[in-house]
Amino acid sequence: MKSEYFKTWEDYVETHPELNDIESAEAGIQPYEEEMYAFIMKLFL
Amino acid sequence: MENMKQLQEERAQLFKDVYDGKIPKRVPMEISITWDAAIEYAGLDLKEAQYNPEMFPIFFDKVAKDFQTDKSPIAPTLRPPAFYNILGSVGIVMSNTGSMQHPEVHSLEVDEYDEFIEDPYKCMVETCLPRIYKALDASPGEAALALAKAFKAKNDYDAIAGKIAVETCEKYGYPMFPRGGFTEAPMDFIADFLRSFTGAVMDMRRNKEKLLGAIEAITPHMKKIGIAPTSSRYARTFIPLHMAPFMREKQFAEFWWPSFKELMDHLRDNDAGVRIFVEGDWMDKIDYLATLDNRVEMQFEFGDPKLAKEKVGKDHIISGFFPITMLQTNTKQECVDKARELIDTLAPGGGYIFNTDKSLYSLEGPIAENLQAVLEVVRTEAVY
Repeated sequence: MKSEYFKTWEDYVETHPELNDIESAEAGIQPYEEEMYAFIMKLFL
Repeated sequence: MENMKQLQEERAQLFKDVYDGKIPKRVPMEISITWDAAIEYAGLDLKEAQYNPEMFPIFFDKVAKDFQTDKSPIAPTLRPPAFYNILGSVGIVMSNTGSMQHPEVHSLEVDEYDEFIEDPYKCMVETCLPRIYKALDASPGEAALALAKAFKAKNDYDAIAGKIAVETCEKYGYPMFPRGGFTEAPMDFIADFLRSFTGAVMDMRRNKEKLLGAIEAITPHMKKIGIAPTSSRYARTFIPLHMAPFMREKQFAEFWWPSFKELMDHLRDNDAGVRIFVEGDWMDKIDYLATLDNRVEMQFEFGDPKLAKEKVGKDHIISGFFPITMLQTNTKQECVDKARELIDTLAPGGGYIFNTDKSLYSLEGPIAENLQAVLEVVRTEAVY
């Protein structure tokens, strides 16, 4: 699944390279991308 | 409490055996009582109770106590009104009586199909959402605030209702399976809020290639939301099936089935069990269902239980078929006779879960008493 509006973690760190070296950053950020995606999809279910 | 834990385990085992293809000690039974029915049965005001979390435990407790099945008869609703209200929803609205309803709406025009096919998620966020959630049809700042409030309201509701559901299960010994995914057949998703039922039917004739393109484009999304972190054969993905009974077989085979089959294969490949609600009458298309694998749980609404048993009973799990209308219009004896008839037809060899043909939308009049009599017959007689 690809979308301009859904940022994978790889997409995200491209624009936030300072996070590359922080091991826990993905777990602190990416779940919210997934949660908002799930929320938006639920609005059409 | 120890007894309740043991009861939870015994009840869970009934379902696990069916999911695993083993014959359980007894036919497991589950029913789904809607919030509308539960709130009114508990003597509460329907509109008030849906907004007031302090009332949730009252109606959860009332139906969990009075209708003892093998899974909790009530679950958190998919349609809590607060966040729909915050978003200015026109696709899910509270009626004058307090029921949450889904009027026919559409949010995607025919000339926007290409935009949708290019990037469905972006198109849904930018173009479709503001049309069916009017609070998002505002300045960027106002829309962002409305979405943030709604997201928070939904998460708060999920946390509160989830906690009450767990407490209810522990109190009455209902098993708790982890939550599976929730998705739709790709064409149903296009029809529900994007093109509408009417629009999708029209597009099958007038905009065939665009509709097929949209179905193909949305399929990866239906796969993604169909899998939860806890998905398994016990934590089943729920898929309500909508449009197929209203389609001729030629249309069904061309528009509906291929992407649904692709979705089902994906779920199978990712070890996600599936429960489908086979809405309407699928008997003319049951051979398609028979081609699925992954031991799908199929809750049938209408049709011929004998034919279903013959066609899908060997490889899949059958439930449903008990008409909730009987509980309202027929005698207690006729209701329990119907339950016995279904048990005789569907229980032999296993692969059967007793359930009604759809969720219970009311427990008024004779419904509650007739339902309790039916459940008692299943509990005492449907033993292997």
